[in-house]
Amino acid sequence: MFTKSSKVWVLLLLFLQLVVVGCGAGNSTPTIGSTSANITPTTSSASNQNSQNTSSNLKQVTLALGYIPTVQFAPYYVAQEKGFYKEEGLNVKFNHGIVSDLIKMVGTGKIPYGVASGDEVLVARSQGVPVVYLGAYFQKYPVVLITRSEDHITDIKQLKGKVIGVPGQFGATYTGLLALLHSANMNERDVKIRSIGFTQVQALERKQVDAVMGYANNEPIQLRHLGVKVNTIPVWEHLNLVSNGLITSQDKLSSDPQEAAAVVRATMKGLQYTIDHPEEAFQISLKYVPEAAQDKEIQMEVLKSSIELWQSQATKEHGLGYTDPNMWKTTLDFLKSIGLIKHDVDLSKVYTNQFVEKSR
Amino acid sequence: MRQESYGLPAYKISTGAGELKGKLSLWGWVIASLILAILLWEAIVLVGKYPTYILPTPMEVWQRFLQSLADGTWWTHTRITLLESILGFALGFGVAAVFGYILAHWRAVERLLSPHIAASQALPVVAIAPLITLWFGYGLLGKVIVCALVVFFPILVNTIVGIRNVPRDLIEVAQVYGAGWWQTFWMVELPLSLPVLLGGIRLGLTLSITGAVVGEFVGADRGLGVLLNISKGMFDTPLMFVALITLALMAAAFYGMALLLEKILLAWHYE
Repeated sequence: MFTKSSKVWVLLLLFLQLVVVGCGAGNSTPTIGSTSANITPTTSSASNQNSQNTSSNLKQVTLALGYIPTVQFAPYYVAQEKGFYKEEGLNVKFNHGIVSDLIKMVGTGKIPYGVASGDEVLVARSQGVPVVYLGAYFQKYPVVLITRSEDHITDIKQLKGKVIGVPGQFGATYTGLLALLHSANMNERDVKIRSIGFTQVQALERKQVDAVMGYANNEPIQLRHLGVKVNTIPVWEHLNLVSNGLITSQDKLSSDPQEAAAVVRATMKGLQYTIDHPEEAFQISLKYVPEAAQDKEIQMEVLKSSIELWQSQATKEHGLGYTDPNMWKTTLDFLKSIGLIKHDVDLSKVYTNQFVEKSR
Repeated sequence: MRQESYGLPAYKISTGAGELKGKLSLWGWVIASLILAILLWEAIVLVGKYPTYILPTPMEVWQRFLQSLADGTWWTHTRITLLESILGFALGFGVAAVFGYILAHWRAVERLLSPHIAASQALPVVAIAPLITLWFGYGLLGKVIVCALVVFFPILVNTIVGIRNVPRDLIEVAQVYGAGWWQTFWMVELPLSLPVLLGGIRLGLTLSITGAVVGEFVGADRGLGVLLNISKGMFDTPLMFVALITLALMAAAFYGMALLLEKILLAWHYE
């Protein structure tokens, strides 16, 4: 296609293009599914903790956090850097990935521990994926419906006939929307659901939709910083479903319950530490999410609003990580009512609070 | 066209009594290879004792297909992907053929544009697709454009190569005999570049399906890419297989149709 004399031009233009692309990359906002997952170190740190365990007799454990590295995973980063995992005799390595794959990989034993949402665990369990939920990390289902303040939408009933943007007809945001509609005795036919990918911020800002589904600790903060005044209707206030927590496989749990207990204990210690020392936790997280330093203000807000979602009345009474049996029942009944679960699921096999109570 | 044979390349068109037999044996091989693949699949599941969520049996996938056919899921999604890839191919082909013709004839234009065109191929479509969705909206147009982008390059390259391969002296002869631009193109360049161009079409048609699925992954309400995401979210692995096999069959059908087109248009070439 190219003649010999044009080779110089090709090289020159290619170089120019690289420069242009390189300059543009700096101000792009990370979205779910972006390839930035490899940026942060995934190896366990050789931290300077004076722990009783030498690295030779530490147990190697992989913990799949899902999604991409973000400050929302601060409790895990803190547990790692503060040596909480080491104190429990664990050498933990973090992994990131799409959650539905994580659950399957945990179920087959390819990855021993992971973070997944309670509703997804139930759906997976109903399809025969043998995973067990060990302890909650989010107490409130973090999905919210976001509208522009000027539209004065404060009640779910007002959404009738409105266009609502979701990333797709899957995942927590979609489940969250169905939960909101369900709580108001409505269903997906009462509104216009549009799949917009992970472009909720832009879609709402540009008024392409009337409302979007997002995470309480992400999209509303991004939108406010763009100068868009928003209202949110949190799913947890209307139908609180079991959210993100630690999971492992049935086999792993029965063969090594001590290890599972250790993972839960250390993680909950990291969670407590993050709640008590958000500024320090943020600084620790920067090692894993260096790009957060660039917009510290937003990212700190993300962390602070996450801390709100990690605690509840139940954790005050029963300790961090606890999940209310009634919440599991509510979640299961709801998933059955929307047809996401067709077979019954034995809840006693799906979750356990035994390690949570011990970790107090 | 006298002969009628479908789907498989005929480098030499058979005649007379042997033709039917040859065709039958070709189809025999296709069926045998399919049966073999299914048996192998079944054997892997049996030996490995894999649960359904990891690897379903062919029977489970077939039953899930029948179920999705009965409740309308299958056609709802297949229809959209089919539409997107056909429209996307048409757009990509149209633009690439015109560009290819221009680039083949005017070196200066080629030198100006080809670095950008070549470099653009380094950008993964998966990464550009969200931007295209943002610019062109969440509807059909966005997906068609993603498809067209995928189709564009192979068609462009084949058009350029095809046109450049037309012997210079044949064009000159045509011009000596007083042929205008259109006559030269229609009677000399097009027929002589057709074999290469059709190769590009075959490639582009199959790639257009990939383009449609990538577009659907970014954000869509219907389409096989959407069905893949939905079934993944529901841990419904048999349904994922239904979507994947449908995509594979669509690609095979497109490929077969392109071959058929080649045989019709290039009958003179083989004779």
